[in-house]
Amino acid sequence: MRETAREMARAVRLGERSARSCVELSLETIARLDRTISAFVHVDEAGALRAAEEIDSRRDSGRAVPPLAGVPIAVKDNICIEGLPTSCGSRILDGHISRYTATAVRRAREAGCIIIGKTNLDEFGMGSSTEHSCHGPTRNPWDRERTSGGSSGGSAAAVAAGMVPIALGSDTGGSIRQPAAFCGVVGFKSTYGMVSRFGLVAFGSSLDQIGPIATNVDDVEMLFEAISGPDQKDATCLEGEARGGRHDPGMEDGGPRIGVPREFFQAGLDPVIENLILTVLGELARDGAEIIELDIPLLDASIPVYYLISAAEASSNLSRFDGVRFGARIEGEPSADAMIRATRTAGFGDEVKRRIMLGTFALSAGYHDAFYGQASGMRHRMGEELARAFAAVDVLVGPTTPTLPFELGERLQDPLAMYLSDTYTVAANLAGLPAISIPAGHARGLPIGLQIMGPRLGDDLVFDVARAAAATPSCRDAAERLSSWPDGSADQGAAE
Amino acid sequence: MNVDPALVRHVARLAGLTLNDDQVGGLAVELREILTHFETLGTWSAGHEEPEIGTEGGCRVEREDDPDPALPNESGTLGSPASARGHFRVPPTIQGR
Repeated sequence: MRETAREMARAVRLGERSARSCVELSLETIARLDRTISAFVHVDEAGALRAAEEIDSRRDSGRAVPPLAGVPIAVKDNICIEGLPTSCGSRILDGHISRYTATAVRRAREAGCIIIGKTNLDEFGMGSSTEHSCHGPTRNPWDRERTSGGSSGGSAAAVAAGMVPIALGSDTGGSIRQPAAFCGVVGFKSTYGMVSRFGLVAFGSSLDQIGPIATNVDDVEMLFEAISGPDQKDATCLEGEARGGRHDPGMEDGGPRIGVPREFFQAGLDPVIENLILTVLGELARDGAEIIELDIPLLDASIPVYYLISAAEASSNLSRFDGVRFGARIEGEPSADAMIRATRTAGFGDEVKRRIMLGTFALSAGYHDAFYGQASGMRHRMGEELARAFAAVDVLVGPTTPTLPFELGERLQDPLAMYLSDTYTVAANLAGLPAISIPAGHARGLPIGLQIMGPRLGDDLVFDVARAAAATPSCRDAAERLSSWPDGSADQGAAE
Repeated sequence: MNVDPALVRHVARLAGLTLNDDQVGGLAVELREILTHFETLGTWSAGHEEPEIGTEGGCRVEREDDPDPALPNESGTLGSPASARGHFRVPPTIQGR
């Protein structure tokens, strides 16, 4: 049975084990397993051991240590840490060293977390399989021939394989929840504005959120509480009363009202996933939850709305990568304009180019109103429709992904099929809502995720319902299989 | 949605990318497929809205603009592939000079 972050931190605080031993365990596991998984793109062994010595020395001298003292953490490689490389999985940032530290990382460190290293991702967060990376793909710990999901596939795989108990990812359209589902772990995206985006390399600024990944809901909530809070360095970060108060899911009155959108159970959903999610809903109903089917028709439009808005924002955000200020440059060009074009053409991968082209097109004269303007209007209406739904239910529940983890290379030549992987996750980003994915079970030896989406500022409510769902027999079985990984893996032979 | 090679080349120029003929052909096919799928948006008759930063709900952060000291030039150019004396170095910006 593996140790949770909470158990590990408690043992360090009580002096039952050293922070150094936690870091050494993490480094040993990475050395043993990451050769075949490729979750990490940079391991900061010296920095991690130095941080562990500081915590041990502090505790040994009788001074108080913070709540997550000694817990190793992995950080997605689009989140800046001063002095460490930040590649965003892109050749265009080859050799780039961050000059400052993201607020979320600073807060995690202040809570006692020890940075083990940076994890792989789809280039600039654009992808659903962690195959679009200049470092190569991250493989799924449950089956090395399948993807880990994306774009935070490195962070999710690192947690699933026990290399670290917790990790940070970023979620623009499901990039924490989808890989969490594919890797059989828990991943959370908060209400937009609860976690500072300062130090997160921007992809879609109105959608991006940094968030936690762990093996269980309690660890995810603990890391979320550590990294969230107001930040003067991010004007979209909520502060004061705008952060809201605690929501009561009505557990004492017979359980939460769980909305089940019919749009999440249509063609395209793998029947084994549908059956498992319905089983968990039945188990929740037996525990007192009220299950309410409802229609939210605009969810059917969420993929085009999301891809048009995120691509438009990406095309603007990525204009800063020009070979002048950061990373790599193609030398020998006769003019600045030629150098910028040559650098961007050589530096960006195919998927990033595709999104920049899509976004530039959607914003261009003659097409703006028909595509970007239309998508912005739909986003507004979708937010209103979801708000109306939350007047009738506490949370919305459904599958996190329409399919099981797919094989490496299976969707690389079919971008539209890859985009449809995000069918159930993008609405939370478009409306700025909190959502979590928890392991609900396995089929064909592969994990399946259950998504719980809450109203705006209902982050605590999402955690409460997630804990109730995690206590159902199906989810408990999934958690036990993860805890005993790799013995419960579909791919035991490759686990070592 | 008709996406022809001329449109792809035009968008690539706007995006600061150079594409060869094969890439133009490939992207024309991919963008045509994606945009045709996305044209279904028109059936929802949403109407135009200005872009939003953040979420619905009227809860916006609008605080005083308190400027902090800027990074020194030398620090700001540390990540640049070519710099000198606190400035970025680039090839000529005007052809022929």
